[in-house]
Amino acid sequence: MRAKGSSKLQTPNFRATPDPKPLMEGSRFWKLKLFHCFAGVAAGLALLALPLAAHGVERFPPPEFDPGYKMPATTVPAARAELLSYVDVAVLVAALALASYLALMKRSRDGLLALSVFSLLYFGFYQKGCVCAIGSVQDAALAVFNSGYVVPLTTLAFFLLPLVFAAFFGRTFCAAVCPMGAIQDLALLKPVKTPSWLDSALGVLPFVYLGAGILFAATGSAFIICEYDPFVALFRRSGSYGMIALGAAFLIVGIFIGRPYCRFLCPYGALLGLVSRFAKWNVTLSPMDCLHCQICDTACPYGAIADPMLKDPHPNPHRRTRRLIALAALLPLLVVLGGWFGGRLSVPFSRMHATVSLAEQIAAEDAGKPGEPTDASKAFRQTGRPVEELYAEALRVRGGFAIGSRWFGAFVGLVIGATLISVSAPRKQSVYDPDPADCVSCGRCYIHCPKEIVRVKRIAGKNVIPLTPVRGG
Amino acid sequence: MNPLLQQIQDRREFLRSGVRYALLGALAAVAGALAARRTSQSRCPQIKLCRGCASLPACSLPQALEIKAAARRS
Repeated sequence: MRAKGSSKLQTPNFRATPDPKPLMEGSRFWKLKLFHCFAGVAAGLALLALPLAAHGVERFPPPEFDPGYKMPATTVPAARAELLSYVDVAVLVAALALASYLALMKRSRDGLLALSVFSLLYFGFYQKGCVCAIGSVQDAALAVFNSGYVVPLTTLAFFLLPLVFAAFFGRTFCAAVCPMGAIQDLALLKPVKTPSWLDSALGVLPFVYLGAGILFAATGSAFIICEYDPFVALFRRSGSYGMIALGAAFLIVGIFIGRPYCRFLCPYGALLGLVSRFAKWNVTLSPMDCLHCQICDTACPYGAIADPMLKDPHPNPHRRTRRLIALAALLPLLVVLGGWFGGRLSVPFSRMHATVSLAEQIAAEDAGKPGEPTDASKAFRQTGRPVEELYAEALRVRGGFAIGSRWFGAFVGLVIGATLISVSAPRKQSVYDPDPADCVSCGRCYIHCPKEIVRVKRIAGKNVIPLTPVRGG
Repeated sequence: MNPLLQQIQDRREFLRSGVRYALLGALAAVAGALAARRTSQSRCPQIKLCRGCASLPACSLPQALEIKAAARRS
């Protein structure tokens, strides 16, 4: 259930007691269970029905007109006024500032929830999910690697501002400003904790996706992060059947597993997590007087509370040290292997580029290989452009992929190696506290930590609660 | 707090601050370079929506000129 307020201790999202059944009457318990089941199934069916409505527009083939029919001129809706894009940036700044205030100073879960709803409505449904900070990574990458591309100022602001805020206040963008995070946060009804080994393993994926997004954007092939954005079709109430179904699937999974896209795919979240490690202020609980009650750990649906290392669990610390040294030695090998493997993938990757794909199609047609000509190949032949020119252009693009894919592979190798080292390295933490890289500053732990509740009550007379201390400070 | 522990904390915070400001510096450099390129070239707020762009009548980018020429021909 959603948190109702921050003024009193509530039951954590996960079962703090082994079984709630003895706490209530048997028949009431089962009625509640049945209600939850029906509500979950109804919500799932409603989400799955969305694609049917959107798919309706593609059911009928276009009509055939008489030869004398004059096609009307194509009309397009007027573009959004430029001024409104600056309003969007102003709203983003205000939302980031408010989220940081609510997460770190006011420490209000209710406030963050209200801001999440606003962000979902404004950045999601009103702005239709575009421009978004997640996709802006690709604009920045394309602009860096392609001097001919001029990135719009508002897109640049959407890329930079959440990162700047993360450098000072942690992932407050994820807390209540990102519409994709907000929709998943609101969908989380029955959280199930994922094992930490699975979190660590899947935590590699956002970096792989980030690398792939940069590779394809930098080579001018595709903006895959936008293309495969699972929620933008829901925000626009329109899109391909597959993408709406994917969005619905993410939301259904998100009923049980907290923010699956944010934690296991979001490339911008990976960047924010990196920057957030060095943030000046982060979400912290009461580091000095932690009771070790583990309620915060139980309440966090994202597995972001780092467990304390009260005693060294490893039976043989020397063995652990040897393993760390071996992993550190393995790291360069993984980078080199990744680079080699990435190089091998450069040809299939390059087929994502329209020029390479067209050149291969033309070559196959000219070689008499079976297959129908595509619209693109027909259009190319109508231009009368020499094929050699197309092949030369395709080779140039493929050369870019040969370099980029090696870098991408090396980056993936580095991420895998660094993850292996980080899970093997001993932690020096002595209290339960949110991990700055994983914590999305949702504020759930505040309303569950008994010490935090006492602290808030103690200083309730003051208007503003002091800023949380620096992690580890 | 133990002075040694305090010293370690201070050193750690110093390193964290160093990395933080280095990251911010890098971001500022990238932003500056991209913004400078933006001001040195013609600016287009709606690069993918040329035909519906409010700036199209006054725009002199090649793609806009093509669109306007095509509109005149039709």
